[in-house]
Amino acid sequence: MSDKTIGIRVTRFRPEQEDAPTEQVYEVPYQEDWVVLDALNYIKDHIDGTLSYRWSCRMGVCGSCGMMVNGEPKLTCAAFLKDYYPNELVVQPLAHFPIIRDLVVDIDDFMDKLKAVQPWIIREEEKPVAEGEYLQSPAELKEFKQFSQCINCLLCYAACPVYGLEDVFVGPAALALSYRYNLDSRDEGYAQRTVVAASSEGIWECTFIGECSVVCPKDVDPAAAIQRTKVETTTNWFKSFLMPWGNK
Amino acid sequence: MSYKQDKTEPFWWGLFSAGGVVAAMLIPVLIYFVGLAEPLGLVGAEVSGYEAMSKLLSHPLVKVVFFVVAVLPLYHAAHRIRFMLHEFGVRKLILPIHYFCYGGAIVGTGLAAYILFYLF
Amino acid sequence: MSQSYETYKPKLSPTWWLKSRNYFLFMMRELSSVFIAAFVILFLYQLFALAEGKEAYAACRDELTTPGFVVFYAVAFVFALYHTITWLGVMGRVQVVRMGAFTVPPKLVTAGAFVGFFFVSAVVGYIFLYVL
Repeated sequence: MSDKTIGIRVTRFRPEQEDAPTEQVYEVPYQEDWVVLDALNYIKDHIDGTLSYRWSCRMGVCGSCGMMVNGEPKLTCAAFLKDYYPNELVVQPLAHFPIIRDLVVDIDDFMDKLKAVQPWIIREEEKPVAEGEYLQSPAELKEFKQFSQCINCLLCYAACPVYGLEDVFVGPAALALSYRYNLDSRDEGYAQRTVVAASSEGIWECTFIGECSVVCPKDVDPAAAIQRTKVETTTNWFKSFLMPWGNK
Repeated sequence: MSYKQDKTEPFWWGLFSAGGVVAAMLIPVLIYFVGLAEPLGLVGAEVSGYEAMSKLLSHPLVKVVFFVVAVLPLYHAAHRIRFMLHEFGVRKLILPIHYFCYGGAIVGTGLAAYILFYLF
Repeated sequence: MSQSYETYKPKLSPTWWLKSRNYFLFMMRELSSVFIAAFVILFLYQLFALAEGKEAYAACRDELTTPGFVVFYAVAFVFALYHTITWLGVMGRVQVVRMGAFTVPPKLVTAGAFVGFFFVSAVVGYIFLYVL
């Protein structure tokens, strides 16, 4: 181990002892191949066992270690210390969510919204198992694949000022997943999802700031999914207005 | 959690979006010729002089184009101003803001129709 | 669901858009619409004067070519161009163009939009410079 160290300024919030979050600075050894999560684990294991944060896979798949690093939403398992060294690093809980403790935020609101858009394949009538799978061509898969990469890490919500101002907004990830299932050739749940996605709290709240897509670690591009849903909903609206005899 | 179904949103967004396209395509070149080229001496002839503009407006198709170019960007702006106010945190006055923005665009539409199709 | 734990809910300040470059540029993009609308209103005023007759139009032109208005037009021109760049720049991401089974690549859609912009500008320029 080298002698170099780096300062990590971490948000602390212990509701039993303080009304509002405070900060605490820890000096941790600087290693070139360390990510921010390694530094947090070092603090937890060697300096202060009371620090709380979420993490699991350490490889950008589980989506649980999202935090604000120097004010930007990042997966801490993919944010390298060397990109910040020698400056002090600020680690805060994901923006726009209620803080439960230290770096742990309350994501119940998102879980409710995720469930509301029904991100699973909906069939009007399920066919019997004996008839086999619902087949899909590579071209049909390609239509939505990009939007199915979401790991629910919530960096997009932390990047979205609209959600920060008014948390009734359904938000980027849930709307992108709604779009993803609507695009799926096997799915028949458009009508059920659209009452959530195209509601006042859904796509119409979005003003295409676009930061959700910038911070997405999986290149899902939720902003594009939302704007496309607007185009689609608007096209359907004008169609039904101009051609009321049409079946939609 | 209940989700409000506002069926007018697609209508306003459709106008916003059409206005965005029209503004993106035509407004820069129009500002250049109507507002900048002549006073800055960038063109020799009087490109927006009385004769030139009158000749232009004598064509019915030009009137329709000018109507579209003037009106749709107003709805575009109305929509963006409405949401800008939301984003500055003005949340309590949602309905008045709504009426003010789109109402302004509707008044503009009336004025444009009056000038282009009645006065000319 | 009733919550059995206390949380701290941070509030976003109304000046959030000053805190990052991207947010600021977003607000400038939105602000472009105000300049575009102001130009449109001046343009309608100019057409109104045109309908009133030669003298009214000349007076209107004198007014609109004063330095204050020229500065306004210059600023509005920059904002309008910024609107064009941001609006057409995301075209491919927003508008899916399908030709039968073939989906046009987003970058091509965006490129096409810019080609359209230059074409339209050239046509309008031609009308102003050579037809009138």
